[in-house]
Amino acid sequence: MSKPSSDIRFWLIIFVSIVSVGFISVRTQYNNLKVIINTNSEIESLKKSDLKSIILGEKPRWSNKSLIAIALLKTNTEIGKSIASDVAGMTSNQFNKHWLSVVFRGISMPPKFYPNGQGVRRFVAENSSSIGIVGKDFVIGNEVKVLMIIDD
Amino acid sequence: MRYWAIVGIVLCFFKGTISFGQETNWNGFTDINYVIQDSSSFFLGQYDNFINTQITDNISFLSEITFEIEHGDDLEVDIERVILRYQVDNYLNFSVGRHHTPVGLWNTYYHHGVVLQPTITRPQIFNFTGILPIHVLGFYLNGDFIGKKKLGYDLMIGNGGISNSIIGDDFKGKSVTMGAHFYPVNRMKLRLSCHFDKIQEGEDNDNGLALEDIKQHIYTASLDYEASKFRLLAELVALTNKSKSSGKGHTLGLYIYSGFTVGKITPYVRWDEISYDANDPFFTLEDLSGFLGGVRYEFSYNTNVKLEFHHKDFNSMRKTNLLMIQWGVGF
Repeated sequence: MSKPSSDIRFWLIIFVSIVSVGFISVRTQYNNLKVIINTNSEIESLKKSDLKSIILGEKPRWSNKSLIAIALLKTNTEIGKSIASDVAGMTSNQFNKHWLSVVFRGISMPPKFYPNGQGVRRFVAENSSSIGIVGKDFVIGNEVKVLMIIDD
Repeated sequence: MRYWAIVGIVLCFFKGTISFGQETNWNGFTDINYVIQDSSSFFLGQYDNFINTQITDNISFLSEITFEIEHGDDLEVDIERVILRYQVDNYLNFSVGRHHTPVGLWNTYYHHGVVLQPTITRPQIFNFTGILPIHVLGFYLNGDFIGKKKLGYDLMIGNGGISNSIIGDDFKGKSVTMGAHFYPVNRMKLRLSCHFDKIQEGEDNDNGLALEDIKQHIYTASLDYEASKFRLLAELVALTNKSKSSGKGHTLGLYIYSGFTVGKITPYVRWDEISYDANDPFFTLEDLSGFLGGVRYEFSYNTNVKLEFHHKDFNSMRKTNLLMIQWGVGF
């Protein structure tokens, strides 16, 4: 078996590098969560840190200045607990208290909390500048689209 | 006052029907306390009604009205906050109304929803009847969470004087408050703020009497480190009262709070210190050194019980001790 030429090896390394970088940047979705957005939105991806800022009420507007409406699962559900821990880096209790404080300080309106994914999906489908998080296995249909979450 | 009481009560009972499509959020806070000092007694804390509504995509309205039983069982209704805000983007807000003065951190974090507060009582320097301006009615410009260091800024121009009048004042000048904060490292917030005002001749309150016009300058430096189980909150206040004939008086105040959370239980301590200048042209108060130790038990994010022991030493002449228990709730 002959060895590949140096040119082939060079392009092979370049190809593997590009694929690896692409793989790393795309494969940062949360293990058991899916971030959904209204189908009319032009946004296709979001940085992880921006998603956290939105979920914590620190960033109330999209880049086009429209107000972001947030829909989440209740924090007493398993998916709701995952949203608090994986996205916000808090326990459910801390996440709820954080939002009580944010609302009290007049920083932002609170998210809508639903007991199941259907409620989140319906809210996102009906509100053009909204964002929602559901379980990874939840079937979203064609009323909303999945947002790609990438590392910073 | 009666008008606002009626509005508040009506909004409380009909909160589900006031929105007409706009996004409206209503919260309430209250607390029940038991104090043991020379005698022991139960008392009700404030009953706080908080409404936040998104009127248009950019304009929001916030109101906070408290009901409180004063001495003699008189019901007092206070308009704590009424704010109309125009949010331009993530980093620029214009507001008008009665605000919590953006001086220091405690005063913007905590007010009437004591369930959010880490201790039962406010630090001495941020007491409602204390030396700092707790509320200001006026124009407020602010922004927050800018860049990776989460820079924030505040500029407020409002009515002056110690009265915090909500029906206007006849002062020529207005009070000015400025502040900035950022996170130098993750979970640690640093803040600097200042407040410039004038106390007019003849004004008085529980803290003093102005025999002539007094210029008041307040500077604060604050640190808040909040990890998942540990919290350190410390603030330093330097206040100067200056009059033409009586000269200057410098007041220095600070508090340091620290708590460590294990599960639902948080033991905590706080140290308070205020030192007044004997020649201050306005204040006629005693130096105060205070310590409190307590424990907080969180049933959930919106209800907790706190047990606190307070020790206060007034000018090394008079000492007081008391034990307080509080059950606070937010809903």
